Amino acid sequence: MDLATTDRKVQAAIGLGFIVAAVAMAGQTFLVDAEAGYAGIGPRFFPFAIAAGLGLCGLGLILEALTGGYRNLEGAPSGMKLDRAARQGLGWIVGGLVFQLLTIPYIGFVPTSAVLFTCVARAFGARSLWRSAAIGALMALTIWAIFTQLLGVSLQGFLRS
Amino acid sequence: MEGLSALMEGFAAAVTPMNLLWAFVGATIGTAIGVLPGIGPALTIAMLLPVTAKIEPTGALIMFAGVYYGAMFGGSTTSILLNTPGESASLVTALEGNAMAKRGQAAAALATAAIGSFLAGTVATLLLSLFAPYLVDVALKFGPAEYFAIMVLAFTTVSALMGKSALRGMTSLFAGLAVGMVGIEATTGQARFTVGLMELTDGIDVVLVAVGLFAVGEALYNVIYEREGSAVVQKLKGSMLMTREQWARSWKPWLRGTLIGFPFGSIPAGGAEIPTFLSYSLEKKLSKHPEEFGKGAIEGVAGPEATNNAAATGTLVPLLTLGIPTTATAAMLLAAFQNYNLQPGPLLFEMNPALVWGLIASLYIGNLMLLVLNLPLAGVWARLLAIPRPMLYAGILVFAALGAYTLRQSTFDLALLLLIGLLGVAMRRYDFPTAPVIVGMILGPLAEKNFRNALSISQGDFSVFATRPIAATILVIALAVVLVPRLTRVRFGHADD
Repeated sequence: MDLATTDRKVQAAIGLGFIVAAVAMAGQTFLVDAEAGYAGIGPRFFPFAIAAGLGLCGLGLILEALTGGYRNLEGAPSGMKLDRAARQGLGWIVGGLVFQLLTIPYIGFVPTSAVLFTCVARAFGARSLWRSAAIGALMALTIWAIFTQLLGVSLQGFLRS
Repeated sequence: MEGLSALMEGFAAAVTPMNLLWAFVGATIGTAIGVLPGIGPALTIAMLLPVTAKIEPTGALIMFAGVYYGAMFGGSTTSILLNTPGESASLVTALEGNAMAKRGQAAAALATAAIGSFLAGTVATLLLSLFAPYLVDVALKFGPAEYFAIMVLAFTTVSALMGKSALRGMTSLFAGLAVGMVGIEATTGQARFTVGLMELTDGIDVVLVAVGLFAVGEALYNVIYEREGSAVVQKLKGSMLMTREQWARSWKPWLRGTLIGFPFGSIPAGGAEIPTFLSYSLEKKLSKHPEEFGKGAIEGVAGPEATNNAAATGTLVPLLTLGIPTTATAAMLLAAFQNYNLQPGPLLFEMNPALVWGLIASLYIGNLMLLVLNLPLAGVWARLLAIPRPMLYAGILVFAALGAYTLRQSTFDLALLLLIGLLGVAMRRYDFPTAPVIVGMILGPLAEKNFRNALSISQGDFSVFATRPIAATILVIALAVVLVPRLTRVRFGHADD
């Protein structure tokens, strides 16, 4: 199977995804109390119309995917398989973000941001991890100082005491 | 001249030391992020939104407007020296300005871009000050049916006119509208589409979506598909003082660009891309040196750069007078207003003239600051381009996470940010535009409110949208925007397109 065919299958799958989302949304609208009031339409009507529109768009996307692929899809990179470096880069960034969201309530913004910084820099091919970590820590500290001291935004910087 | 005295009051509000400082901060940040590739004004305003909790509205809005303008100035530096458009409206400049830089005229290209941007920004702000009071008078007569119609028009133009595929634009729009429906609904106060998650009761914050798509999605896309980054930075050569000939070849394109850009920005036709291309082809047609186009013609920089600044100012017309955003950045500005429980529109002009006119006055001041910041200091800004990509994207993601987390200190939001970022990669890979998502999610609830109010007034009679002449006309135009390009295509046998 050549790349273009695989790509068109993904395109059709995206269309299907929108249809599924639309059906789910339409189903959810029935959980909303329909109090129509003077308008004659209630809080169900608008979301239902949006779900219908989304579903129609999904249908259109599938149609395009089956008849030669999405129209005017220029400049998009070809090839479905991500190479090793791309997978690693993706892993570093997602890993950095996941690390931060899991640990920030416990150790605060500054250390987690330094780790995130280091991970992203690594994903883009930064050579020295220690240098990235140092720059990241300095940057996070500066941001934290400006936001909490100058702007008065509450942001837990470090380990919970 | 009622408008003039209001504008004078605006200046009085804008020249307080604090507000001048905010204008300066905004202009500086805006120029910096305009220069840096991979970060634009919509994203920056999204990340700065938490400060609305602490700064009073006039100062914050002045700063955000400065970011918007500054990004337009800074974007030209990147296009010219790096041949990578800092924002989509600089595509043409990236062609022509980079060619000038390669011929050793980088400084002249930057100068004509900066002076043209200043001139266009100032003239466009003048037009805004002149027209706004009239539009406000008209807008005061609008009822919910008219507002709903205008919002539908904004929806169709932003999704069907821009971008390469109306279908993908509409898909993005409906996705944005759907996201906007999540959370407590304004009229009856019940939660919708929260799928049992407490965290969704307040809805999905537009900051999360903007930062997720523009920062996380962008970084992930780049690490997967454009890891290397091939751009070469041109040296800042030549004199910033343009020669007599360069002035002579620049001033008409500046003015023409302004006149093209402002109306395009003002009508909800979304974006500055179309008018900059128009300006470019017009200058090419009118030039005495058409053979230079593509190889570094100064007209090809002067015109489009003036155009994109005038268009940016133009988008403030529907935003301020009607409360309708037509670009992602304007949508973020609207979000900033909403953080203060302010709804831009005719009523805001009446209730809070100091704020609206202070904001408009600050645009004049901001433009002047930007000229000073950009002409003599061009070399300093150019040095930002030397920041290595790993550090740049690492910094962007730290800010992105910061913007998401400071919303309400919730790790749920960080998880959502990552999810939206991953969706953003797929959107970019399959060329779904992002602006309709943002405009849809922020304008959707307002459209619903107006729709239901209109029907409440008519006691459920749908014909209200057909019998009120202004509403009906606008709805017909909105429909035409979607249908006409398709119908004509079929008629002329380009059905394959």
